[in-house]
Amino acid sequence: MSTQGANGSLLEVRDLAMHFPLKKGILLQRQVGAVRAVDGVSFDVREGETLGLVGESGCGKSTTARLITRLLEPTAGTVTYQGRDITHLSRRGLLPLRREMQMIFQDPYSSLNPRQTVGSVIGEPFRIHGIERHEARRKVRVQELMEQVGLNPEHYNRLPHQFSGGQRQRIGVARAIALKPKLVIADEPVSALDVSIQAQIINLLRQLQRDLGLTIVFIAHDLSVVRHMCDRVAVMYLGKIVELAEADELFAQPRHPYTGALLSAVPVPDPQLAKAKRRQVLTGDVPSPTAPPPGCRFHTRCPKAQGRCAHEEPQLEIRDGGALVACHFPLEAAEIEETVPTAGA
Amino acid sequence: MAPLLEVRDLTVTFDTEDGLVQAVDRVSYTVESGKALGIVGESGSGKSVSSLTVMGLTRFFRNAQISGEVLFEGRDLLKASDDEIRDLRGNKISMIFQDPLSSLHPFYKIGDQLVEAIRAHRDVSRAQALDRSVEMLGLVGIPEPRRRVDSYPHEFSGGMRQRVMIAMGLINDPKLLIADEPTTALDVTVQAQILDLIERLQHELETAIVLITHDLGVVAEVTDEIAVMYAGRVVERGAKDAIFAAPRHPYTWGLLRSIPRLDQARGDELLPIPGRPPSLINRPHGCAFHPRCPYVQPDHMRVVPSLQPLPDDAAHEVACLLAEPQRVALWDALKAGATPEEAREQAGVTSAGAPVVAEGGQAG
Repeated sequence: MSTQGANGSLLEVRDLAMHFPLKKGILLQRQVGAVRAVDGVSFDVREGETLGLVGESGCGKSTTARLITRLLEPTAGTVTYQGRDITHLSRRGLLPLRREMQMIFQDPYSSLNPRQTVGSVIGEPFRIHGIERHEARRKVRVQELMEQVGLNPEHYNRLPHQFSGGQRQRIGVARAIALKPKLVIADEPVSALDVSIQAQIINLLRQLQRDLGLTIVFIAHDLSVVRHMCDRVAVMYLGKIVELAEADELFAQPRHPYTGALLSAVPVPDPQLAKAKRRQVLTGDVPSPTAPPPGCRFHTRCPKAQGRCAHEEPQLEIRDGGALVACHFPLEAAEIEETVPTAGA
Repeated sequence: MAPLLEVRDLTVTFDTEDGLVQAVDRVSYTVESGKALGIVGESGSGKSVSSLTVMGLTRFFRNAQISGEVLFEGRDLLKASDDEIRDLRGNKISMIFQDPLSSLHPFYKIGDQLVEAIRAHRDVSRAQALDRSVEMLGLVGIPEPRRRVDSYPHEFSGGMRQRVMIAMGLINDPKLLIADEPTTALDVTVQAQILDLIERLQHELETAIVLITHDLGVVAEVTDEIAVMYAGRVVERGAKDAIFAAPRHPYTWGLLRSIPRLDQARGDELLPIPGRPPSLINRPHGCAFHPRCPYVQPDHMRVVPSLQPLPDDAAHEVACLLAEPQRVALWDALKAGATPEEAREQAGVTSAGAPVVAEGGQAG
C-alpha cells in the first residue's frame, strides 16, 4: 500500500505557524497583536520513528502537537499526512484521520472523565467510530487492551479515582492505541508521574511501539527521557526549530548554543561529574512570544552572540554530520566538552 | 559542637476519615551549620510533612499527632510555644516552596512584602527595610532592584518569582533555609540559575540548607549529605559521595537505575521499580519496601528494619535486613549492568518468590 509521502515520511510539516490574536476592547474588539506560539516550523515525521520535540515552556512544542493533530487550524503553512494535505480539512473530513492519529496527555488526572468507568473511557473510540457496536464484543476488545497496557481487565467497571497516577496514564495509553493508530502524539506523558513510575510508562510506550509499529511524536522537557526514547530530536525555542538531528548525534555533539545550554543545565546524578563539569548558566528569561527579538531569537541570551545575530535571522541548514542547525556561530567541539555531560558519548 | 538542627524520632500521624495516616515514622537527621542536607523521596514519602513539622506548620492541624524531638540550637521546637515558633519562623529558620506564585500575595508590591518580612522580626524603619529589600533583590540577581520593588508578583516570570522567594527566605539572615522542591516548577535553564544561586548564597552567607526533592540530579549538585525517604521512614542516610558511589538500600538502587541518565550510554530498557508506593494508612508489615523489593526474604515481611551504620563507614546508615556482604555483592552486580534477577543469582541471594506486585503496576 503506497500510503507514504515522498522520501518515506508519514507526516510533513512545512512553514507551520500559529499566531493567537491578542484583542482589546469589550464590544468592538480589535486585534492589538499576536502571540506567535509557532512561527514557521518545518519537519518530517518518518514512518516507525520516534521524533522528540524539546524546549522550555512557551517554546511552542504543545501548540505544534495540536496543529499536526489538527486540534487547531494553523495560521499559515501546511500539514501533509501520507501525501494528503490536511491543513484545512473540515471536522467531518478529519474524522477518518482521527482513527490514525491519537494523543496522550500529560495529566492523567484531568484527561479522564471522573464519572466514566474505565471500560467506557477505553471503549469510547470504538463508539465514536462505530466499530464493535456489539456491547459484548466491545467489552472483550477493551479488556484485551487493558491487558496489553498492564491493567487488570477485571477493573473494567472501576472509576478513574480508584487508580493511581501511573495506572491512569496506562488508561490514557489504552484509549490512544484502541483504534490501532499509525501516529501517536505523546505530550509530556511522564512528567506528572513519580520517578519510579516514569520508567514503567516509558518501557510500556517503547514496547507498544515495537509491537504495533507505531510512529511517535514525543514531547517532553526532560532531556534524559527524550534521549532514551527518541530516534531524532527537534529543539524548539520561541516558536522556531533551532536544531534537528539524530538523537545520538544531538546529545554527543550539540551544534546550537541553546541545545548546548539545555544539556549543560540538566543536573546529573553523579557528584564527581557534577564537580568536573562547568554548568553553563544562561542569563535572563525567555523573551515574550508577542514580540520575539529580531534576527536570531536566541541572541539576547546567547553566550556566542555577535552583531550579525541581532539583525540577520539564521536559517535551518544542513551541517556536516547531517544535523539541521539554525545558527551563525555553531558550537565548537572544545566548548561542548567542558559543559555538556553527554559530549562525545 | 552540637549540630544546628537535630531531628530525633520525629513521628507525625494524621487521624482521617479513612484511617490513621502515618506520614512520618521515627525520622532522625542532623544538619550542621553551613551544610546542605538533601531529602530525597517520591510523593507520599513524608519528606514535606517532616519539614513542615520542623517549621511548626503542622501543629495547627487538629488531627495531627506529633512526637519526637526537633532540636534547633539545642532547643526543642516541638515544645516551644506558638509565639516562640513565630519568632523563629522567617527569622532564624525560613522556608521556600515549590510554587512561588501561590506563596506571594498577588495584591501587594514585592517591596511591601519584603519590608513586612523584615519588620515582623526587626525593629527598623520602613526606609531601612526597603533598602535592605533592594539589596537582597540585587543579591539574588533581579535586575534594577530599586525599580522592581514596586512591581507586583504577576509582573515577574516564574524564575524571577522564585528568586524573590529566595530573597524573602534569606532576608533576615536565617541560620537554616528549608527549600521544598524549589526548582520543580521551573524550566531546566532557569533551574540551573536557581541551583547556582542557592549554592553561591550558601557559601557566601553560610546558611544551612535542607533541600527536599525527588530529583537525584539536583541533590548530586548542591548537597553535602543525603537522606532517602520511603513510606514515611528514612531508609538510607549518608554523605552524598558515599550514597552515589556505594548505595546500600534496594530502594536507592531502584531510584538510581530507573531514571534514564545523560551521563551514561543509552540503554535499551529502563529497570523500573515494580508496583507503586504504598498507602500510608495500610503500610506493609515489616520493611515497607518489601512488596516491591526483588531481594525480599521471608523475615523481611515481619521485622521492621532500623537504621544501622555500615561496618566500614559509621556515617553511612541503612535500614535494610539484608546482610552487608549480600548488599555489597548485589550492588556490585547491579552496577556492572545486571538485572535484579541476575544480581540475585550472582550474589547468592535466594528468591523468596517474585515480589508481591500491586495489580496493574507491573513493569512494562
